[in-house]
Amino acid sequence: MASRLVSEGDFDSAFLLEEESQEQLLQYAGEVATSAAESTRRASLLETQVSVAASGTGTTLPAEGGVQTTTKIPPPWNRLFRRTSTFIALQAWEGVVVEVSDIDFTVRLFDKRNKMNPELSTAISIEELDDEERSLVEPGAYFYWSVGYCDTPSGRKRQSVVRFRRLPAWTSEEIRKAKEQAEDDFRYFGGEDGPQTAVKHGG
Amino acid sequence: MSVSIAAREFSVVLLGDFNPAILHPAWFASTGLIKLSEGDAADVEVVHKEVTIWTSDWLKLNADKNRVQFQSDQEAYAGPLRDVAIGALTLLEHTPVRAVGVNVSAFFQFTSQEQLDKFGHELIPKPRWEKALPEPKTLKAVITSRRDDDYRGNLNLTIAATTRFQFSAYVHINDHNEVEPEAKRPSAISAISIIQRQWDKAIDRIHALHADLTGAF
Repeated sequence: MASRLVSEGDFDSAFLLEEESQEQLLQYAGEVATSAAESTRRASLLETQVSVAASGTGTTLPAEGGVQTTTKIPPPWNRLFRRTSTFIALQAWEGVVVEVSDIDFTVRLFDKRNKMNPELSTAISIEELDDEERSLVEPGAYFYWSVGYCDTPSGRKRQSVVRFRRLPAWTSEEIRKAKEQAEDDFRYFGGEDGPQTAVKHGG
Repeated sequence: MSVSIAAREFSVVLLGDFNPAILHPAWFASTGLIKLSEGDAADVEVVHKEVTIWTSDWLKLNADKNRVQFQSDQEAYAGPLRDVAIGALTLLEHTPVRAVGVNVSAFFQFTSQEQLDKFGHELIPKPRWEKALPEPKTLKAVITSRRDDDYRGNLNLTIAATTRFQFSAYVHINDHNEVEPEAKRPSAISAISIIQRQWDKAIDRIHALHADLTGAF
């Protein structure tokens, strides 16, 4: 069994498994195939999971703060498929489409990192989008745009991600509120003896 | 000295009474909340009346009958993650929701092991424990606070050891909100309002913490 290195630091972790070789992981997988119960016992010994959820609505994560969302203890073979890339945004905007042409669309951008920055106007090439995103480009459409880098096993890559907002149609609550507002406005402007009817114009 | 953010993660957690079986990636794709291609490519672990777990390129969904968690570790998809949670609640507006967690996490990366150790010692000073423990170390600290607004709930900060990035600590802020029952309003709609209201605040909170630490280390 390979040593499980624990650094000397205060923030060391007892959950390090980086020294596990693939051969050993495959061996574990083989054991799992023959005995699921045994593998679960091994998994619990190897990877004690600590939930960081301080209450019921906190994110449930393994001790390493990784990305697995399952509440179960991950079986050892999951380590063969652990995450290999992370996107880090250097800049992030939210934007609204103002105008659309065949080759690009003009947008207004709002800086999400520094809200004091002024609004920007620019054009984004349609080529930046895949087919499913293109179908959402129309004046008034809301989108997110992040520029950053992605760390992968083969190195760091620049990446630009444009994603249009996908929300369902109006909720019943929103429709109810809109109706109430419309009725208020109707009365305000004099409908059905509303307040404005008291103001008489002309003779 | 400085502390950088090596990665960020986002999640929305709902507590209530749910039907996990409906939360299939195909449902999300057919309702337009995610792309059709994302629904097709999703890695489905299980979809069952008791539990549903699947992962797409950027979204991880984990649901049981009392809890649904939408999570992304891809920073570019923070906004889309919020929209998926809001969209699902909009479509399932009569689902009872008792509480909403808006969660933002970050991996704070220090410049050296010494700086990370110093941070750990500041969190939990060790001399207090040295009589009982030969070599006390900090693995995890949880700090809770009342809210700074008029809503029911609390704020929970968790700092934990991590090996994902060198010299780093995992910092998680859980903005826990109780959904107050309203006579004319489905609780799912109240939950949507909570997410819309708290989302930016939750992100600002972790950035404020980062800015503070950057000044101290």
